[in-house]
Amino acid sequence: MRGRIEVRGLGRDYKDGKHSLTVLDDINLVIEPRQFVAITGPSGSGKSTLLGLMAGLDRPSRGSVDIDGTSITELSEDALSAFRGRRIGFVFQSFQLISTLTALENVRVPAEILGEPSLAARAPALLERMGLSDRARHYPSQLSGGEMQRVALARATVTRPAVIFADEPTGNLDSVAGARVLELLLEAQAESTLVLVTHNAELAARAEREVCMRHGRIERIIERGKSEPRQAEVPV
Amino acid sequence: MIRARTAAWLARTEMRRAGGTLWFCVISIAVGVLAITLIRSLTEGLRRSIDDQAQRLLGADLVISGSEPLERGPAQALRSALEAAGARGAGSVRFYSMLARATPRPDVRGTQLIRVRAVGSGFPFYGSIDSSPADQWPRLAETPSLLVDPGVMRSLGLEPGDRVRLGQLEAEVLGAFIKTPGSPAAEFSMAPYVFLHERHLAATGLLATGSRVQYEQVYALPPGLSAEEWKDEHWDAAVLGKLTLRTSKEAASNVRRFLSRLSGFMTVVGLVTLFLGALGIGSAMHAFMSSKLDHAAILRCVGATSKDLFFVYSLLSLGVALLGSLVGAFGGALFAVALGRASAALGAGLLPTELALHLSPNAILHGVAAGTLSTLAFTLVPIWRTSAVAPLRVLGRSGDALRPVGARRFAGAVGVVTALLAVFVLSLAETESLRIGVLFTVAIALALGVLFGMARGIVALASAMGPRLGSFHLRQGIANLHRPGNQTSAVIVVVGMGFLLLGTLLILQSSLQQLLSIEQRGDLPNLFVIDIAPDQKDEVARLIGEAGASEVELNPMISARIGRVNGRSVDQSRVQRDDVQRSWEDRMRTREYFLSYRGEPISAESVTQGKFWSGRPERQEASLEEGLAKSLGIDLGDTLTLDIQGLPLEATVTSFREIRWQALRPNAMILLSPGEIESAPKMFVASLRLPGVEARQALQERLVARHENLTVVDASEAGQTALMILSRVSAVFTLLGLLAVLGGAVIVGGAIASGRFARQKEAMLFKVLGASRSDLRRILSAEYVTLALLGTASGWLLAELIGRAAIPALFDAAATVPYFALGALAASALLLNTAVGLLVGRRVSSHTPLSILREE
Repeated sequence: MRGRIEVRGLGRDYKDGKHSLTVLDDINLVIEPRQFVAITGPSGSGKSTLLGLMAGLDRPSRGSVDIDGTSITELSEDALSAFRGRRIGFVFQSFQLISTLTALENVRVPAEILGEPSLAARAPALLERMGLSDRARHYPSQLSGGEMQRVALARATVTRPAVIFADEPTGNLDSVAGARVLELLLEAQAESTLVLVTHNAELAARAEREVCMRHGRIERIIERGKSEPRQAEVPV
Repeated sequence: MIRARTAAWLARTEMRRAGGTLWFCVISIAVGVLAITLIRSLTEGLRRSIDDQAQRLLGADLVISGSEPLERGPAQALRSALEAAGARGAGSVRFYSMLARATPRPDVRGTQLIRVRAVGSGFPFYGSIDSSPADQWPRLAETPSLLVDPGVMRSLGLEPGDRVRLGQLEAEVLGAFIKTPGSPAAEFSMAPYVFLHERHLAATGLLATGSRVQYEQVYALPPGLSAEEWKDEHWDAAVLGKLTLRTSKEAASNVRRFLSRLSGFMTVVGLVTLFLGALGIGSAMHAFMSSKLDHAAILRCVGATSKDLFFVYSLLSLGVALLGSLVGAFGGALFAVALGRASAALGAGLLPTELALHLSPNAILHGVAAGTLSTLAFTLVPIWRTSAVAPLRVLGRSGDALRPVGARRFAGAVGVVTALLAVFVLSLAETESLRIGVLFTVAIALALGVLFGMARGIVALASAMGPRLGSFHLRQGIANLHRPGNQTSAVIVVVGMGFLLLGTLLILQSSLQQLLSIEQRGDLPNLFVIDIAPDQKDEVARLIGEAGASEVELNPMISARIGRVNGRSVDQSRVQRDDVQRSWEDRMRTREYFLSYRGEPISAESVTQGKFWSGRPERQEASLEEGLAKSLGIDLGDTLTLDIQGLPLEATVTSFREIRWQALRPNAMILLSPGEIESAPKMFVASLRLPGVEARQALQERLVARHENLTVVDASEAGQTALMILSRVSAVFTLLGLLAVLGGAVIVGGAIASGRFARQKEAMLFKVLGASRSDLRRILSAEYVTLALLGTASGWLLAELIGRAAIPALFDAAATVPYFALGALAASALLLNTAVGLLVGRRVSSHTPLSILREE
């Protein structure tokens, strides 16, 4: 089973001239494979910073993050990039598609960088699963918000990652598009651990565990157990 | 590491929707590469043309020359060796003299300064000398007769059959020789040539001792005897005999030397254009790569390393560089071919050969290599910065907090060093001179540094003054100069450099024109009488006095060589054997000098070291021109042994002088104190000022009528010849300068295009808030007019500062700033750059807010 995350004593400070600002401190957390974990909290509570550190997008000031036994905080920049490419998928609030690539190319690009033609060959099928077969040759500027997020989701899953990190994935979408994206994310959870940042309490309630953040620390963790997909009830 | 195929695919996809910016990059580098390829194609074509026609130009394979007749000593030994080897030879004598109509005509001038070339039978051994009427060349030997330059025919009003006087010889004019390119008749000279058969030379009576005569023996070698090998073998013997050996490969060496210097200067101008292009690319790529930061961050999230991204964006840059360089190189090479005819017209009377310009693979290869290298060097830092983007950016953070300021400064420093290194390497490769390479790199670094400094100052001023401006449009336009995404520095540097280049050329050209316009300068002598024998001196002085001349000076001139310094011979072993390559210092070691003597210094010189004698010192003292002393390693107190027509004379060096040659006062590199030297065989030179062409011609005719051996040089006419050369050379430079300015405008377009995206967002917001298209256009106009104005003003200021500092230092004359021409140039540059700015920027105002939003 892949996708176990272990966070120990994690902290992040930012320096602004002579002043130091601690935005995250003393985070300890274990996420089991294929678990759906929501990180919630008010703006500025440190949830996106935590996601960035767990995903290896940023370096902590202290502490460590292990994914499947690999301490990603100790990896070199290049090794970390390679690790992200092979083991992690991302879905962002603002989609983060490459504007000069078509929908299909956007989905293929992580597999192309890995040099895995067999994974790249999955792209058309993934787009079909996302209901976007007819939009494969369209550029992001020619897609709606919901379509863009589905392309991003297809890209996040093309390399069969161990973990998918999603930062407010439905934040820019209407309720119908948001529900569709969430349904697809939960489908993806069948293969990957899903860590989702949101400040939407109802969305967080769908998660098996909810990590509540405040002032850069974990305030509490709510354990709910595995839930069944409920497409119609997703509040967004 | 990412696969090359994937990297190429990503690089290709990044070019999508970047057409405008990348095309500007392509055009920017293409303009620069076009300039250097054009210059290389032209100079290579010229050199090749001369090489191809070298044998016919010289009319022979090998020439022995010296300042004394070649019938004795080492010269005779060399001649015998050649003749024994089966070489065919002919004599040739050259000297300056006056040609006079035998019967004066009131409507034309009576005398003309000419260069006589008296040749023996058999010459030319290769090619032919055509004439009008035809077939007159063989008739030269028959009777005392001449074939003259067509210009002399016109100025003396001569027709075939007319009689002229050359010294004591009265000869028939057979006609004019035709300056067929690639024949000895096409040789360039400051005074027009007149051909005579050597059989009639003695009758002119012009070969008196002390006259400045060049004696030659020209040879056609038998098959199997190499002129170069023979020259190498006999070089030492020739040096000992004070002789020079030249092969056909050194034909037209003066023209080749001139071309070599000219091509050096042209290459420098071309390189400036190239680096302006590279700077434009650097600036455009900086903006382009900044717009790619989000893509790079996404790619890093999905597994690409910094090295992968560096590879991808370097491939993109390489693609742009290659495309631009290929377009520029082929464009330049084709332009050179097309310019063939125009260049031939520019070179008419200056170039001894026909220009045969073909596509030059070497020039194309050079252009592509130079364009590619400069592009890669100038885009290194933007690519590096984008490749190193923090993946955290996808979460809306720049990640700059992770990168210390020191690291960013280091990246900037690496960029500057890389760019300067590229400037140095390319200037070294193009000019093939370490000195010019270093000087050029330092000059570029200084000019760029000053212009960047000015741009920074302007940005700071705009930031401080902008908010105080009354008009909304002006306020916004000026504010754009310091807002994020501005291209102020790039545009000011590029426009400024373009104007600096052309402005400096204009100031130089104007100053040289002023310097050479001798007729207009009341402080300079304008007539020189040479070869005055001692017994003619008094009468010449009387005739000059009667003509009402002013500034009259009469100086003795004695031909001599430096035999020894402190008892040791001057080292001639290191003298460059190739006449084309021979340096000024080398010539100092081998040449014959005209020395003079007098009791006190004159105003056109200053003593820089030592003490100038007063009156008539007891021992023989010498004062040397400081450059001569330096190149020969002579110190104060050294003893010179001068060889004065075979007789030794010792003199102690007691002072060095700096001579202002441009004051046109007769002077001598080696000046002696009055003493023993006064008894040496000598001639006199008179300098004087006489206003009016007619008065000078009348005096010339009177002098030559009384004394046939005199040579009279009208400095105004010589100045006109130099002005003619200057105007043609200026035309080439102006063309290159204009290319730089045009290239600058393209680059400005590129810079503005690349900064457009930042403006589009603002424009969109302005539109949403109620601004009309007219409002947006007025804001943009304010921005671009100000940019073009400030860039032009910066360039003008620098050009004037450089001109005013450099011209007095180089030519010892005040700089003449052509304000009208500079003003016209500034107005054109202003209009051009503003128009380009508005043309490129029009998209900002013409789109709907939604279309910009969708693009984003």
